[in-house]
Amino acid sequence: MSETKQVELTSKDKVSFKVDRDVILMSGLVKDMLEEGDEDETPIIPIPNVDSKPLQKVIEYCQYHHKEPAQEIEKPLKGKIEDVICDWDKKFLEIDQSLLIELIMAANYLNIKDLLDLTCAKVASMIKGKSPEQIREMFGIENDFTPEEEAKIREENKWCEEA
Amino acid sequence: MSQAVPSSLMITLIESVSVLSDDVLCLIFQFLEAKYCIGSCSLTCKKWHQLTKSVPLHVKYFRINYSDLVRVVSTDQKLALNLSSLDLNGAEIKDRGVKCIAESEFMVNLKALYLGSNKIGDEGVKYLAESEYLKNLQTLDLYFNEFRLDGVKYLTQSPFMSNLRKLILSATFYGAEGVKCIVESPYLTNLQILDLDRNKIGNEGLEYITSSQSMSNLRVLSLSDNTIRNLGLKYIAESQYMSNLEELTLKSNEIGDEGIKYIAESQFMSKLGKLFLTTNFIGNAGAKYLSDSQYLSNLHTLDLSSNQLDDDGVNYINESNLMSHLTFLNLSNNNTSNNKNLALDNSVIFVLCCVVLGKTLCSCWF
Repeated sequence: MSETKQVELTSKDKVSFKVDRDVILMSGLVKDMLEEGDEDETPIIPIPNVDSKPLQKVIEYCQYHHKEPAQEIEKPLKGKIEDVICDWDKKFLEIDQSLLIELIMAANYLNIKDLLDLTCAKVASMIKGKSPEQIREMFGIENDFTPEEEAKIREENKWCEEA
Repeated sequence: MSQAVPSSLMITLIESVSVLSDDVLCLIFQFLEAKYCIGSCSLTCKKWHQLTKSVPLHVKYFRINYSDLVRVVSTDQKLALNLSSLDLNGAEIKDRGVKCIAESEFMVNLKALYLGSNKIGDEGVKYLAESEYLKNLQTLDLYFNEFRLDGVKYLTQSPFMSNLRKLILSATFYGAEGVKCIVESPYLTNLQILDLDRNKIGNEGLEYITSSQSMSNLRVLSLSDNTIRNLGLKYIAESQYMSNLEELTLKSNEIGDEGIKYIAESQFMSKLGKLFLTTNFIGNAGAKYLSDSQYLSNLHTLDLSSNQLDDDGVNYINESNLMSHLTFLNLSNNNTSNNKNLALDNSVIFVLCCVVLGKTLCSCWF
């Protein structure tokens, strides 16, 4: 009788995406908004914090995973991220670092837990085995410690070295 | 659809993780073991150093002496309260070490405790079972210790174990009686992962598991090396409580073709994704049952190595629907001819000889 209900999302850079309602209900934020709003034919939901590029990725993720729920990623991550996720997710994560960071922010803002876990675990996987210097370089973090402070923290942290 | 072109300033900002909120950074840290989270991340900058002080920690020691253990779990309160998982597999902490963990009030946030191969006796398990501070444990690994049936009784009668989802008791209690204690426990009703390898539970033990409603949340069941025979698989196949199984490991048992028939024809096995049957007595008929199964439609990993298949058995699998969803197949160590009379190309020979086969090899099969 009725066709699949749709929702229109508008990105920060004013690009519109029409998505099936069931699909985008994976977003806690959209879900809450739809629940309080009236039942328009195709409600328009502005997503003012997310650009079209990450938003498109988010929709892609929801379209796949609303039918195939993701397996929870165990904490701590065993091995590399690629060892614990499905093939589809592996392919999905083949993106550059800036899009990855944008995707994390989008997942956080839209409240999509599985996507947030996936993208955060990916960053964790990138950090694994790297020295503080390498991590700073990878993410453009400025070292604001004095050498004395750094030495003191190293001393404090001795307990976590594996025997 | 137009693409936004961010300014160069925007790119610089976005490439830096500094745009991420504290909550998100903490989530990232939670995926890291303490040696990376504390060992590296806390040293990158002041902000991260501050954040890592409140992140749930995953700590692993291959060896730890008693005084260091006391410090980690009870003296250094700030550190201990952050402990989310403590992995002491093989660290030889013995009953004394277990007591020290169990009696620490700071263990209330501990979700996972790994104490495999630690020479823990019945007394040690009693400390764990009686500790109300361990009531948030979701994962408990006690593989290969010195406790026996009494230890299992303490554990299964403890109300503080009621949040356990993953329980590993391989090579501990030896015999079906221990399984009876587990399935009859009024507290262990949320188990999703159960590993009872090398416990001589036999078909009798398996009958306890499969007839218990409290086992109906099981997703992963591992019963390798337990003298399980065909009848045991009948119990699994006919149990509605086993219908959530996604992974079943039955290596080194005494399973033949008839047992495989039960599994292949069971309506309750439709969620099964991984099936490990290494070192059993499965022949061509078993391979045919699996190949003809209309229920194993989600199976993606199949290990039939070290069985009794010959070329016919391999052909059944190769020509079946299984091949459309399998991403891992191991047929090594069977009675197959390595290079003659196979209606398959060379890549299969590689399959037959090698220990592991990934998706890529499967694809070159055709």
